[in-house]
Amino acid sequence: MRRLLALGLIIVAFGLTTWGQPLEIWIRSVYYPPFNEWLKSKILEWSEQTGVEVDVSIISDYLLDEKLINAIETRVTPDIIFNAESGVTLALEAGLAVPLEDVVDRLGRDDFYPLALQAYALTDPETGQKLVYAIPMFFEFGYWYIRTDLLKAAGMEIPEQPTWEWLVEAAKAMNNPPEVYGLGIPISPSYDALNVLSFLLYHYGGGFITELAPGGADIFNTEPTWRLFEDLKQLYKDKIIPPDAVSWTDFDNNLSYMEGRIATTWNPGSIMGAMLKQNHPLVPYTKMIAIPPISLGGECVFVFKSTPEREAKCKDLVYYIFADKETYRVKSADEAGLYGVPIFKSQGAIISQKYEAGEFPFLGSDPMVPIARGEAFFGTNVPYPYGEATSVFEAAASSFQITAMMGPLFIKDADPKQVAQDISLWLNARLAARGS
Amino acid sequence: MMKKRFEPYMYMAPAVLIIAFIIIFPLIYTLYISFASKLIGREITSFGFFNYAKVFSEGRFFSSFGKSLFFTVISVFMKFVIGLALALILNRSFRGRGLVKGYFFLPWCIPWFTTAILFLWMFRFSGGVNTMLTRAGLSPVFWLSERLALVTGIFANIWKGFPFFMISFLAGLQAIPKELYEAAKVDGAGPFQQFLHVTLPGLRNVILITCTLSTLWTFGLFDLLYVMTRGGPGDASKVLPILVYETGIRQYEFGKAAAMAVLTLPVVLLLVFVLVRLTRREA
Repeated sequence: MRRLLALGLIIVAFGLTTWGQPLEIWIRSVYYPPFNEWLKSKILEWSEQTGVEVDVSIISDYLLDEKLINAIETRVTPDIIFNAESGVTLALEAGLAVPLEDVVDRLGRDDFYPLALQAYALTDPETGQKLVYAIPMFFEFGYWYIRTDLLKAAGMEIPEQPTWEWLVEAAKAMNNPPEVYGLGIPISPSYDALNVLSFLLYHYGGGFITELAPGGADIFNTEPTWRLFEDLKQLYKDKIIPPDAVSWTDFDNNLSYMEGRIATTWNPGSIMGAMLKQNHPLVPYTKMIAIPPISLGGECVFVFKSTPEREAKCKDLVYYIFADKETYRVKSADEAGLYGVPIFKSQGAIISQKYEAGEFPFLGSDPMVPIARGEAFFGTNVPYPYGEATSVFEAAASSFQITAMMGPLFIKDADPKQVAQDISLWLNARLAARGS
Repeated sequence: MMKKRFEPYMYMAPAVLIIAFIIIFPLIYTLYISFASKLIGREITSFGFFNYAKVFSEGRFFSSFGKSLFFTVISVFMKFVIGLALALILNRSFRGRGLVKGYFFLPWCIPWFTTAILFLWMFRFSGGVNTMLTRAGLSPVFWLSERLALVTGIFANIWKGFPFFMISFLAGLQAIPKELYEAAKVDGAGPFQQFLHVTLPGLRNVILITCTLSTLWTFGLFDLLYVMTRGGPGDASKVLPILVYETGIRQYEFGKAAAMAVLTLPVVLLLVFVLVRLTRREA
């Protein structure tokens, strides 16, 4: 009896402490810092208005991954994570994620681009129902940056619908090593390199995982990959891609572009965001173009299971962040060099209008067109065209191992087929380990 | 009587229990997980040697182990040489000695992450070092290439770590009685012989403890190379801590990462054993 009483007291005490605890909120720091600050200020504003206490931390991306894994493993989780690029599938598999369908309805389901709701519409392991478990914070749009002054000097112009093949031709025409390298793409263990690889793989007609066999990477070690690897190897050998691109971390291509060392590069809008803020001399000579399929960053917000009251507060907070859609658009897109284009059609239409009116002189095409057409994919956790975020692909992608394993192509002149086979074996082993 | 005998242990018990929980529990848990098939956030499904089998069959572990050893041995040796040389210089009295001591100690106070960013900016292809080289009419060097990435990491590690050796050796030098040098001089010993027969034996314990501690820290160092190279190009600078981190945290394979950590345990334990023995002898 005494033991039961003690246990009861412990449970009540625990309940009381949890009930009285502020909401624990993590923000993964994105590459456009003012957005993190705006997000934090909005959360604090909500806290003041509702009287709900919050404990907000802005955490760097690689620290957040570690904290997130530990949180899920120990089941001692925060209440909500903003800008997370991974973890939602793991949280769901561990029974820790909360569906956000009601938030979607509150924000106006019809106003969402279908892509925004498809990305994290995950299958509930218990009911088999597909529900929205996370909402993308924005579409972190992958642009191709081009130096228009160098392009003009090479006697070329950006066509109406630029393609990868055109980009390579332009890069070759602008190439003037060691002063300027034509094609500044990262081929190193980094997020940007994985995004570029994904884009190219899909463009060449290949992929990582087929929809017919989601448990296998059997479409990776195929002809499109071999062809792509051969082409990349040649571009590297011909010094169209800079020799140090094999060692670039995620900001090296940004810096190289801003230093004028490369004539083109792939990146989200963060380069332009930084250049606009600095009034950089290359702003007037830069165009950002979209070549489908567009690689998008997977930043999203999701809520962890706790008590119904806490979950409700978290959902209200998510609603609050997005509800003022105008400010949300201005902070993530307009003021950020279109770093994150909006997930709402109403706001996307404004971006399109502004583009037409010439308000984004650095844009070579309207970014909302491929979004509306669904010609885009979430590079870090959704294998295209399979279409649903999976922890298997997330684990494979976020480790940078795929792009690290591409290294021998460039640094050891390895056989493309051998490299593709090695990556495929590695990918299949990961898939098997997850038992998918 | 009995109560008195146990009283000291009672006072120590809370601290011992906390330390045991902090050190022993993770160690046992790592060992346990290394035999388990475990997905993050889910229950263990089976037990066996499969994680070890995977580690041995993939070969990546041994390659990273070799890189870790190379990184550690060269770094510690160079830190030792530079630290000792500076300690010998700073052991003499000259004007501004305090200022010079403080100046050389500065790198030790800078956090690892900042050091990594600093070196990344200096050693990237269009970074500070190559700018200086080209301005001096020399060719730029690809410091973070497959061949040089680990060496550049070693350089950063030496820069950050030598002050610890310098300060420890300086303290050790100041504890050597002056009479020993005077006696050696009377016996006709020159500066080199004094260094060999008085200074080095006098510093013996400090050297061993400093080197052992530094070896442990360097072998387990993660931040520096991860921020500078993420283990690349390819796997060129993927030392063991990066491999374990990527396997466990990025690829979600706790069991395999734990097996890797367990396999490095003998090396770490050997170093701890040496350290404990030395400390005991010194006491």
